[in-house]
Amino acid sequence: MIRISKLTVTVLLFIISLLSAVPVSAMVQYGYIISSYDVDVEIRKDGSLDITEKVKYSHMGNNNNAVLLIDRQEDEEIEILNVYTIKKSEYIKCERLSAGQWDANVFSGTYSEVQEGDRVRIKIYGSFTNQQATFIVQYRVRNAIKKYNDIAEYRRNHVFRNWGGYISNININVTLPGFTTYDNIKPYLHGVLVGSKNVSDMKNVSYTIPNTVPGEYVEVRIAFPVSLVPDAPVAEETDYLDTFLQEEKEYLESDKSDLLKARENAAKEVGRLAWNERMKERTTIFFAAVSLFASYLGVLTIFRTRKELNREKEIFELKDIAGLSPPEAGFLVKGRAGARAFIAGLFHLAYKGMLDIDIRNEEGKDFLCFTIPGDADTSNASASEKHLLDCVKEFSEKYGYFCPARIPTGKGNTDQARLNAYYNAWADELKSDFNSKSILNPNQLYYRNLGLIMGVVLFAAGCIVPVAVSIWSGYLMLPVGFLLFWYSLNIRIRTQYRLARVRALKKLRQIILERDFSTVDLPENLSDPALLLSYSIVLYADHKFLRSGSLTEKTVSQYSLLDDRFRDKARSLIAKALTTINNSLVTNLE
Amino acid sequence: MVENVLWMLVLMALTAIVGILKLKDKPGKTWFILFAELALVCRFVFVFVIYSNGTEYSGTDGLIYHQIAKDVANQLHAGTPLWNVRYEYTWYTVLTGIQYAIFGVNRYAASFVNAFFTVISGYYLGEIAYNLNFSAKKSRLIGLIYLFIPSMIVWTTDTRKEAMIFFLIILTWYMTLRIIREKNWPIFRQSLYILTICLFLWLSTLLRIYMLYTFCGGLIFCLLFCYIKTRRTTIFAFLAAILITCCIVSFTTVRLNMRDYHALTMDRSTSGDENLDEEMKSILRTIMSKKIPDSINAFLTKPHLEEVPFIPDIAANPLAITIVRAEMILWYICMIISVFGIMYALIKWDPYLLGLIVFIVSYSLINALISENVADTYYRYRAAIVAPLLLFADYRPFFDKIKSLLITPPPSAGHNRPA
Repeated sequence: MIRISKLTVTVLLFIISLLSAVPVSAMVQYGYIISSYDVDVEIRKDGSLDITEKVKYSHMGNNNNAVLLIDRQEDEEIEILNVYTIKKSEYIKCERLSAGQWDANVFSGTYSEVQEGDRVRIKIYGSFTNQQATFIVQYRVRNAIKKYNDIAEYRRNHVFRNWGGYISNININVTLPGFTTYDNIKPYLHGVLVGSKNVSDMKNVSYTIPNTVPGEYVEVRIAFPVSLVPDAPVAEETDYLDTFLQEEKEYLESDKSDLLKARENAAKEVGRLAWNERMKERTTIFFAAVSLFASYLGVLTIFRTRKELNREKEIFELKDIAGLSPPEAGFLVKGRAGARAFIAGLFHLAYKGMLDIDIRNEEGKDFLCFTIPGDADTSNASASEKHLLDCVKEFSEKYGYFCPARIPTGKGNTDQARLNAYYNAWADELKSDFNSKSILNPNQLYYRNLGLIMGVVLFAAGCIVPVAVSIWSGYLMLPVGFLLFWYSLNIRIRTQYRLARVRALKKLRQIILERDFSTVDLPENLSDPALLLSYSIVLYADHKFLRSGSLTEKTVSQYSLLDDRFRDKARSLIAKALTTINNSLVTNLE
Repeated sequence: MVENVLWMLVLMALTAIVGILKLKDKPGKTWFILFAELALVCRFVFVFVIYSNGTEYSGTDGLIYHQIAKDVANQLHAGTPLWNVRYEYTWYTVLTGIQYAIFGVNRYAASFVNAFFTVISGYYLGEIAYNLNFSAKKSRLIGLIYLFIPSMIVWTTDTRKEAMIFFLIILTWYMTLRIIREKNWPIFRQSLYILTICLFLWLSTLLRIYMLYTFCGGLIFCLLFCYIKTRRTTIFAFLAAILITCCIVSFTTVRLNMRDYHALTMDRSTSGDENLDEEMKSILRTIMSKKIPDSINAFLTKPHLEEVPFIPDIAANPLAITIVRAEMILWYICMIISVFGIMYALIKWDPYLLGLIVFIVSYSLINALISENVADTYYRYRAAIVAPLLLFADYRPFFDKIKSLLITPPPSAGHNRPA
């Protein structure tokens, strides 16, 4: 249990270390970058604004549409007048996607407008290349100027604090509706530490901000004479100038650590991105090397395990085959039990005198049937043989005989379910018997466990590392890991115990399949045709064996068959029984 | 509004009926149906949210399809037979067009129908899990997770084709599982299922052109191994039917529709079948221009956590950003857990699960190679493999297996009678 816990911890640590690689590849991405942002605001006498924004995206943040956020304050109404985008060096007018209309051609330049509390989100669609685009948005804001007894106030957010991108070259120009003296115009700029403002021509206020970073914002505030907006509705019947100046004084004296922090963060971000780039390169190289090395270790482990398995050669000759029961031989050859081993087991029991074989004709067809003779001595039967005997016994008690080919297949069939239950118990017994004989020595066991753990880790790493770090070499761990795991999982079928026996059994098969096969070529303990038939079934050589004429009348009588009907029909009868059992097992598998 | 309310009520009733019929005597039926109804209601609410501004919330595809569906409806009203209807981009527009022709143009109703199909997909996904020997509780959970994934709610609510694609994927794999498992079905029923799956292959190709190959890859792999294992004639016939369908649809539907498929980067300067080679070259150029490991990373993991705030649809919306980030973290965890589920499937060598793996891998590869390098596009296209991947998101069977292997039990010598 301690080993499992350690294993779990190791695997978890490995996964966590891989997970930490995910952001590495993610951090090299930027958001959008606006290289130029020009805003022209014209204040009208009725207190509304005509605003034109020209935005040049040099990178759209890997998106296929651009977004602009427009400030909307209480009581304001925003009407988008026009949206233009550049297509093939020409400005084209974008169509608005709106409710009920839903009939614009979105590919030729369209925009949508989403009202979201204190802002309006404009999304612009079009055909963009290289993530670059330029847009012009014209809109009108009604009730934008706050008119008091003594002053009128223009106050707008042009860049939102949480917009999140990088904007350079911001130029905002606000034109008042009429001329006034410079003293009467009081412009202020909030949200950035660096930026300049200038009043010109007695009616124009311009702001220049070299750039903003995420966390900064651009808010423009201007107080100007109320006489310039005679048609604007009065927001409040009060003198506001003192409050205005007081608020600006407070802003000036306020703690701007958040803005400093934003700059600092941006600088850090730039540094971090550069560091991430470097780290990504290093990580890529590191993981590429690790992947190759881990794959090499995986392959090495397979070879080392193989070497360990082949260290002690075992000698097993033809004459020793008789020591294996035919089902056991079948299991060794195939690596698992199967219908052939099952039938061979029944024949073997018949050879040992524990079963009788008969051919029954029912509904015009012949079937191979097994029964337990009254005088049968089953005390020497092995554990797996007892399952076969129990199976024959149960069916004999019910039908008078056990006839595999007569068992109907199909889901929910009781007889089939019983046959499958016996088969499974018998197959488990065979497997258990095999495992108890094909024992791994401590070294082999160590390499098997190492292979299993390493295989899992390599496979998991092969799935995660190449995706997280984007490297080809990582994918190498995937097949190596699986191969190593698979090899270690099935290590018992690669032991000398099995390989030596399989070699001998293959030799036996080869002899049976030879043109001039005769039982005299075999060791004495294998020369009995009745026994040989059982082996030939599991070695897929029964057809050839039955054709060879080795099954003499004497042998047939040994099976308690009265005539040579069996010899003539044996091939088709065995095939029929095999098919039925196979079908039954397949249904069971499903 | 009354019409919309009627639509919603009818679809909710239908959801309940399908749930009752489908889940008959399965445990936890009532809760599952109630949650499915809740998922449906969530989608209904979302429909009103996304259309409340009269504009698009998640891209423009839904709008394009709506417009073409209106045109299809007009053609049908004008007496054009269904098989002669002209449509662009995807067959989904024909389906919606038929709905518009029968019930009148109503984008809300089309969205409601999408939501309904998604909830039905959730039922079938739960059924697949149940048939794959997941416990009833786990299979319901898989179905519900699928229904309540936030991004899935977005993709399957608008008049996009995603809901229909996911439905076809899940239904096809569900029917395949039934054919493999139900050996004793009458030939007629088996044939009907096989033919329906072939029809689905064609329809899914009309929806998303490369679906044919991802489906065929998965199904052929699954059926081939299933046939090798069972030697069943039905499976062989099924396999042959899939191969034949793949050939026919490739030479007809894929070839004809390739030029109009808007998600592929095509050379649109020329037209006509004679330029198909050019189009293929164009696709190859796109693939060759990509760094494939980067593209695979992008398809499986984008939007990366740091990119989420820059998705235009949710920029400056802290709640949405948090939800997407949380979903992405859960998705990464799901992928990592699935690695062990996949490994367990490989050990078991279960043909059905292997087929699903091939489907997931081929779909991911194709999309990684040809999709545009935009985070939200990858995000949306990836949604198609969420349901199949959820079927692997269980690490325990694999770890139990490893545990049992490492702690080798002593060989038993006793004679155990079968149960």
